[in-house]
Amino acid sequence: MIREYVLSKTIEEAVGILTKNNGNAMVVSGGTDLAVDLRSESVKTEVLVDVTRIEGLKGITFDDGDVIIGASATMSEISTDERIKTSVSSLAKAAGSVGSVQIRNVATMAGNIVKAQPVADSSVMLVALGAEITIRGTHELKDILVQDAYITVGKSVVDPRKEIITKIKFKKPQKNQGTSFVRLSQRKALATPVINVGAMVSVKDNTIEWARIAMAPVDVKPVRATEAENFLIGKIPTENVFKEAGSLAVNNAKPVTHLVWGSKEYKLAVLPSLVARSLQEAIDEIETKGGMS
Amino acid sequence: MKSVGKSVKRLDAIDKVTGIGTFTTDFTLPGMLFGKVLRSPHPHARIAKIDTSRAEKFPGVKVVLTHKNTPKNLFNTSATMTFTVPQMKPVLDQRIFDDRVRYVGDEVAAIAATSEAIAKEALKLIDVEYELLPAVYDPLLAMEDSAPAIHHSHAGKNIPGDIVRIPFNSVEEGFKSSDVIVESTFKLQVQKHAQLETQAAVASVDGKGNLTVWCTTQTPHPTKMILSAALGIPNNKIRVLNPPYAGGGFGVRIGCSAKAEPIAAVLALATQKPVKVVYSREEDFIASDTRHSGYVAVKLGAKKDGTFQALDVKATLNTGAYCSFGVETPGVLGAMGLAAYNVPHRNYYGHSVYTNITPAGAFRGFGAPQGTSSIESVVDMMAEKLGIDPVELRLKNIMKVGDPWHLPFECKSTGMAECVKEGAKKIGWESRGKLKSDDPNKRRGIGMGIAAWVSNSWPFCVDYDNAYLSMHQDGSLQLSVGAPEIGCGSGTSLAQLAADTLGVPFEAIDVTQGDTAMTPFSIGSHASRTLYATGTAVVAAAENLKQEILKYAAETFDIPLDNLDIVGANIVKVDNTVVISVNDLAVKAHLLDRQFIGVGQTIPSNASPMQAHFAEVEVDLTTGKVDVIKIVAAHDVGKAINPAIVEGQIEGGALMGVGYAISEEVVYDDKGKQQNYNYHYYLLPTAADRPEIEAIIVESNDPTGPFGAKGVGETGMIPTGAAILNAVTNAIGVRPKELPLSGEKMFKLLKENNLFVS
Repeated sequence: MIREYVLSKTIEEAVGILTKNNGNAMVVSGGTDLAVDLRSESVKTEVLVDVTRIEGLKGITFDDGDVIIGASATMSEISTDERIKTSVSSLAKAAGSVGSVQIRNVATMAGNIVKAQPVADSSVMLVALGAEITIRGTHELKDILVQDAYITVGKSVVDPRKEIITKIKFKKPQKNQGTSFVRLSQRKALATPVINVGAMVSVKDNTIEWARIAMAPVDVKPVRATEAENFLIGKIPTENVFKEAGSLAVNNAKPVTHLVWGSKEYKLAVLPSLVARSLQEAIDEIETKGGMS
Repeated sequence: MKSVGKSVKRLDAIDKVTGIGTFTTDFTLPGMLFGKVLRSPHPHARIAKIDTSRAEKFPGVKVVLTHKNTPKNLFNTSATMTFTVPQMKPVLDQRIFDDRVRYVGDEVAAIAATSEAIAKEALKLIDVEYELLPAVYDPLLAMEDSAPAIHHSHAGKNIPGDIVRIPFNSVEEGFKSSDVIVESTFKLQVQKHAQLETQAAVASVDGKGNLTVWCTTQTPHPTKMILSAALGIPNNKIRVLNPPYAGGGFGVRIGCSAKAEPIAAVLALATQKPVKVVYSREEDFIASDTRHSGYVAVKLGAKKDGTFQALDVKATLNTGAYCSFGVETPGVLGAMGLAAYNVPHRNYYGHSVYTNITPAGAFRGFGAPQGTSSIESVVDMMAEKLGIDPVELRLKNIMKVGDPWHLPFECKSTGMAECVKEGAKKIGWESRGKLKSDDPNKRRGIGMGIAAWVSNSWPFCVDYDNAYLSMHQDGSLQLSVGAPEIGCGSGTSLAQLAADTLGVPFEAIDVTQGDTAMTPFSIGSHASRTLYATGTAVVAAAENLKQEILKYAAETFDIPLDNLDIVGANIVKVDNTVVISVNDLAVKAHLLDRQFIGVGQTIPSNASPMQAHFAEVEVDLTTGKVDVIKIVAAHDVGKAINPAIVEGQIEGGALMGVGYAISEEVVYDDKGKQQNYNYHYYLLPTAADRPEIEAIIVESNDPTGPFGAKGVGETGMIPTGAAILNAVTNAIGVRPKELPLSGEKMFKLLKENNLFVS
């Protein structure tokens, strides 16, 4: 039973309430998952600490080559932000793929990370972007990669009974870098994807300098297609190279069958072409930006 | 002045748009308790022991009911038990609570408490010891000797009621005279209504012991009769009504599927307090009736020139744990499946089978989406084999007025040819086979499907209707009908019929619907019948009222009756001179001790609305994903009384058909547990998934329908699956034989045929 709902004004106040309640208080932001969990009693707490009124957690800022997304910025804010749409359209697309309009109007990326569902669209894209989160608790601020924020399904390293995420940060893609987000789902809203893929590719002298490919749900957390990434280094981007990378992506994937969201066999069958498509789209973006010489 | 044929504003529009309309879920009474239901976690088990003592002691709990302390009368939650045609016997296989559970979600016990949270908490304190029984989920396996018997049955292992056989001339002779024969079997899935308001009821008992139940039913009068049978209380001691709206239906509320009404009633009777039972979305998904899944086999014979000779259809449907409409659904699947074409030799054999899944019952189209998806696939197979264009093959064989058929009513009107021709034009049929996608890994196709349907439930069920049309003392009018407004706009259309028959403005009429104490008997809003069958009674009531008014005017003003008419708001003579306004006559009559009341009591004939759907699709060979780009839905509705409402019905039905074709399915795991138990897990198309839908209205003016109208409530759903199946086949060159055409199923089909691109 919830006995107290606190609208925190500052990060310090929020952390203070969490500390004081010693495990009996939880951070709530959009609450789109938490409200469901509380109702089904799979999560229990007595105090909810709402962080959406804290000034320092709001908004999206572009700062000296960094993109900083406040922990309470909603999926809708992110997916419709003109600067994000121009410079990281993949993230706008990923944020715009979460749930439904009603969910996106309150859900946050920080919440997506804490909830630690491997398939979370925005988190998969953040892994591909190499994004970091800043965590604040009684301890000093610490920065970790989104990729390292996962322990297993539904469990992240961020403990919402002790800590809050204050921001998400990544380097704004350069002219020679392209990003993409590809998603296969059974309908256009309110559907857990069969497979989603986030990709970021950096080119130099028309060859691939490096690539980051994140994919889900193929394991208990978003997974990097490291074999494909290594293969791509130094390659000239062509359809065949992407196809080969797509095939290699399967080596890092260990999907399981879900009776609603797709069988293991189906996921593995569509993964290569979706990875190839994501790479093609990332390269197309670089070409559009004039990043290929 | 006339309102028929005009899209007058719906009477319920403001209530629905602003949210002020009352639904059962909104309904509250002083001192009301809240009921919650304990459900079986097992697909098949005997309740060896049930101990409610801990729950009874929980603070706030007022009563705990189980099979031990509730009436044991057998009934059927579907309204069929109240209107099965006399030569057949209704299947009664349900009790309020039984000592045996037959599917995951079956009702075990119920609690009434001072709050929903308390009732829910107390459910955990009911101790049940289950003795597990073997379970079976597939209808073919359930018919085997080794399968567990789920109920007593006489027609065959686990077959409820009787097998439906529809012979029409010798089908063997027909196949002998055929040059070409094609046949195939199709597998259909479980679809769920997913109507907006979950099953719900509020029951209250007064000092006389009379029970009032406000609920979501589509059939207040039959539901009153079911409650009467289940509780052993006379009909006149039970009032069933909607308050006044029900949040959708689509067939799931033809009776009281999932038992919210009887459970609220027994809890109210036990506590002598009002009790509200509102099912959660999960309960609604797992416990209320679904569409029948199963298998449909079709064999079609034709001459080389394409003339159909013989059509043989066989259906084996899965009716789940209880019969519900498990006898009528296979019957209608066959009877109407055979009705679209003039085939000289026809045959149908069909039945359903008990299994340990959620009961299947009535659902928009009542067997027809299953039958049509299968039959129309085989018609396309025939077209391909004969090398005849599918449009031409259909035009050659469709039913025409006066053609012989197996149904006990004549085909007196059909706009099918126009539906086919207009639909083909609008989809761009001439480009079929030439469509190219921009993406080399995508294939485009066009397909079609047709169907003939009904405008009420006769001859499959008893069907008759009544209406009162009474004039208030100021001349305004009250129409009273038993069929409720479940979202189709029927109240508005019925008022249009009454207004134009009487000759008064539409605005003069107000409508009372769906209340067993205040409206005359109706079998309810279902079977695409409300406009046609209730409408026939409304027209009769208006004609009766008109005669009453004119007779009174003739006597009062000493004018011959045949010189009088009602036009607009006035009583006029043939030469159009005004005698008196209707309102003034009403006032005058009232002061001279007279009210005008019209009564309509009718037994409808039946008439087939005809429809042809066309679909354009794109299939992604790298993912199996089917995108429906456009649906053209051409419907012969007889006469569109309110065109906007008719288009809404067609478009909504077509979208439901798109879901049926490509994404909607309830699957069960190997322990009988439903996997798609809420809006997240059940893949209903969202607004974002809606393809372009073009509705075409064709008016054939049926001589038996009110103002020429035929039914339209279900038809939008019926041939959509067939059109999409045939379009996908046209796109990829391989025929799918299982619905839905989900990415995963399509992936398997593409892979088997070496079409999958990785």
